[in-house]
Formats: sequence, structure tokens, C-alpha cells
Amino acid sequence: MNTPTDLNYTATHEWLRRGSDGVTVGITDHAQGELTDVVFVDLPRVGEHFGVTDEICSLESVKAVAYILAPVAGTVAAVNERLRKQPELINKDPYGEGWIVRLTPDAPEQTVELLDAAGYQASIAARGSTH
Amino acid sequence: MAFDTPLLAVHRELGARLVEFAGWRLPLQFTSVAEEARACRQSAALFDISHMGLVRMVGGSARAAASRLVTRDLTAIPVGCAAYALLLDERAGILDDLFVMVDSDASVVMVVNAVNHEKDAAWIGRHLGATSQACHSERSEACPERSRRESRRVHQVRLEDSRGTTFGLALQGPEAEAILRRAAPGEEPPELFATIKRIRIAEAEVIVSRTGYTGEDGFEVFGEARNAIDVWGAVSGAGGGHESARPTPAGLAARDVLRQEMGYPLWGSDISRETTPRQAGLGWAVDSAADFIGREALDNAPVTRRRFGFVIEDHGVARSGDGILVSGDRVGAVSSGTYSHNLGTAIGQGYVSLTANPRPGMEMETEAHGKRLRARLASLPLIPKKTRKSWRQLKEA
Repeated sequence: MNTPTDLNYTATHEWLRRGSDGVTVGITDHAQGELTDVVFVDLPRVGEHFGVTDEICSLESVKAVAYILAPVAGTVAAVNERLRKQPELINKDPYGEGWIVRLTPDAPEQTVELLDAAGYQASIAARGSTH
Repeated sequence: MAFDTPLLAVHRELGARLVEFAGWRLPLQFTSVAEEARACRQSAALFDISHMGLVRMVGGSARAAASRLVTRDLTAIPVGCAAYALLLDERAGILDDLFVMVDSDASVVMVVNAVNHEKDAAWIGRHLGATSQACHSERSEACPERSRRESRRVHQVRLEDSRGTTFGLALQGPEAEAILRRAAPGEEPPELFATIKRIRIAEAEVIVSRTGYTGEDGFEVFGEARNAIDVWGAVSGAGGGHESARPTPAGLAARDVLRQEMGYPLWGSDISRETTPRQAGLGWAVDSAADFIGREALDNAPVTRRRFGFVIEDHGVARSGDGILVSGDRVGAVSSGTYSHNLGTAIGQGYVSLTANPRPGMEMETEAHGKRLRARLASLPLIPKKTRKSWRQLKEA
């Protein structure tokens, strides 16, 4: 399982990367594996606003549906349009081409509890990974 | 208690993602569901089905005794042949769906669902016992058609439950036969659908049945757990030196997609004790001449709903429990749903009330959490079946 150390994570399997253009959000390698093949991504609209832990969008996989929860309060600055045609990018490159949404945060301190890579791995191990 | 597949080490080496299913730890996927499901339709896929239960009834008139428990007249099945059958309760509810393999008059093997294995074995044991005890205590009166000598033979039927000591693998797809022949040189695999043979693969004795859960031609192979890795190795490596000719290891997720493309029911989702064979569209698996527990209830049960397939036209996937709507009215519920990469659309199956006059092609919607998806009812299978001609078709021809 791939867990890059330069990202922050949530206990609900989102990753986030802070940059000058905002906070980019996706799902972890562990999460994409648990979901199996993602087949539809119900992307939000640019300009939509979400509070912390609001549901940003849903992912449908062969096996299940999953919801992306906003790790920060903010407004959608960009969505990964490629996912409409190629939802499998989330499986193939969850931290890169499979990014889902970019948010402009309201206030940097309004976040869920964030984990570093080691903390995220520990949280998965504690729940009993099947990998 | 959870069982580990005897192939766990092999799956770990292949980097499989494992999942717990019906008390078993099994591979969910190896690479991607789409690739695995596609390989099965286009070349060949290899599945670990070690969780499938083998319940053997052996000795005396095992075949006749087993025939009282399932919806098939087992006395009409030639030795060396198998049939899909249903195990019903007294109310004609489906306890399980299974494959019955007839070894001889004194040996019948039932391949049952992992989730029902223990319950099935208990049910079968209880009813075998009841049958023979009744015959003994009542002498000839309770069983006028059965002589005392026969009843003693019934009593000799033993139940052998090999839970956790066997392995199973399914080799499915158009290349399955060529691969099996390379894996077992000199051996002759069973030729017709639903026929069985005992052959050797990697020096291990296995039962090979020309059956599957994918709609493709192929085989299911069962043997002793200690031989699992050798047999898997022989079959998975049998590419004739060409990597591309090897079967693609495939997990439970692809297996579920493939069986849904064929409209094969999954017990616990699409069939259960709350459904009867006719509601489920499985009347074809009930022999008119068969006499079994649940027969009377089945003949008298009204059919008020039927199982149908559907194809989703919107972007979304319907899941078990979602509503089925026709003209805005809720007339049924989804029992299984997934996305088929082979068809390029979301698919599923569910039960629809006959009051809605359901028929293939009819417009419908699925509904979950207020979200509706446009769909159409479809007859099953959604992909044409590619299995070989069966012994039954040959017999009827």
C-alpha cells in the first residue's frame, strides 16, 4: 500500500495536499483498493461551498458507493474533469491523475483531524486491514 | 471462526487484495475487476473457490435419499453427471442453490454455498435421519412403497462434510479447455457441460466438473487442500510458454460481475428462504417428476412477483435494497447491482410485482436516497451463455 509522506490524511480515507492554488483532495491507495474499480464519479460544481465533513461527491465502484467528505471548509475551485470519462484514474494513480477536487479553504484552521502518513497507516492497521 | 483459503500464500505473492467472505479469507481482486472480468470473457480467468462447500452423501441408496431433498430427480441423472438444483424448506423457500454431482447410486456430492455450508449439512443430516427413522419405527405402514431392506439401506447413508479440508478452483473462459489440457497432459477432461471426471493434475487426484458461475465454457476443480498450491501452479502456469496464454487470476469482485452479467442468482441477495423457485425464475431447475421437501408448497404457492434483470441508462449503479419504480410507483426492489465493463453499463437484477405487468424492455427506474436512475427491464442472461452443450441437451435431442 502506497502512502506518500508529503500528504495529510483523514480517518475517512481522503488525502489532501496544500498548495498555493488551494487544497487538493483525493482518496487513498488503500481506499481505492477496498472500493475496487471506480466506475462513476459524481463531481461537484465549481463554486459550490462545503462545510467540514460535508459530502462533496459520491464515487460508485463495481462493489460499493463511497462519499468524499470535505476535510476543510471551502469553495470548489476546480474538479478533475478527466474522471468523467476515466474514473479508473482513481484506481491507477490515486495521488496523482486521480485527484478529485480542489478547494479554496475558508480558513486554514477549519479542518477535520488530520493524520500524517504514519498516523494514517496506524489507523488502518488498528481497524484490521485485509491487505 | 474464519477459514483461510489453502491458496493464501499464492494470493499474497500475487499481491491480491483479500476480503472476508462467508467466514473465508479470499482474494477480492488481483489487478482490476475490469481486467479480470474481461479476461474471463476473452481468454481465461482462474478463480479460487475453496470456500465452496462439498457435502457428500455416501453408502446405501445415497442417490435416492438425496433426491428427496432437492428439486431434481437425481435418479434420472446419469452417473458422472451433475445438475443445478435447489434445496427447499417445507414452505418452498430456497435454503440454498447448489450443484449435485452423481458419482454412483451410493455417492452424491453437493457443492453448496459457503455461507450455507453448515446449515445445509445440518438440514441434510436431520432429514436423512428423519427419513430412515420413520421407516424403521413405523415398519412398512409409514413407508408402504419402501421395503424394510431399502429403509435399512437409507439408514446406511453417511454424510461426509469436508469443511475446511478441500480446495476448489474455477478455470473459466474460451481458453479454459486448452489450458486444462496443458496442465494435465494425457488426461481427458469432461466433455459436456455438467459432467464430471476424476483426473490427475500435478499428480494430485481431483474432481473436475465442466461447470462454472460465469456463463463461459470452463471447469471447476476440487481436491484435497494439501494439493491446492500444486494444482493452482500447474493450471496457472499452463500457458504453453506464452505469458498471454496463461489464465488471469481473478477475485470475488470479478466473479460477482460475471455472474450478474449472466443473471445467475447469489443466495442471500437474489434468492433466500423468502423466495420460491418460480418467483426467482428458476422453475427450470425443478423436475416435474421429482418428489422433494417443499414440493407441495411450491405447487400451491401463488407467484406474485418475478425476478428480472435490468440495464441502467443513467450514470449510476443500483444496489441491493434500492426501489424499482414503474411509472413512478414502487413495484419492487433491487436484489443485486454492479457495473459491467464488458457491457459498458451498470446492470442488476431484482424482483418486480406482477401487478406492474413487467416485461423485458419496459422502462423503469431505480431509487435510492431520493436519487432515481433510468433503466430498462431485461431478460437474463445479459450476455449470451457460452457453455458447452449439456448431457441433458444431448439426452433430449
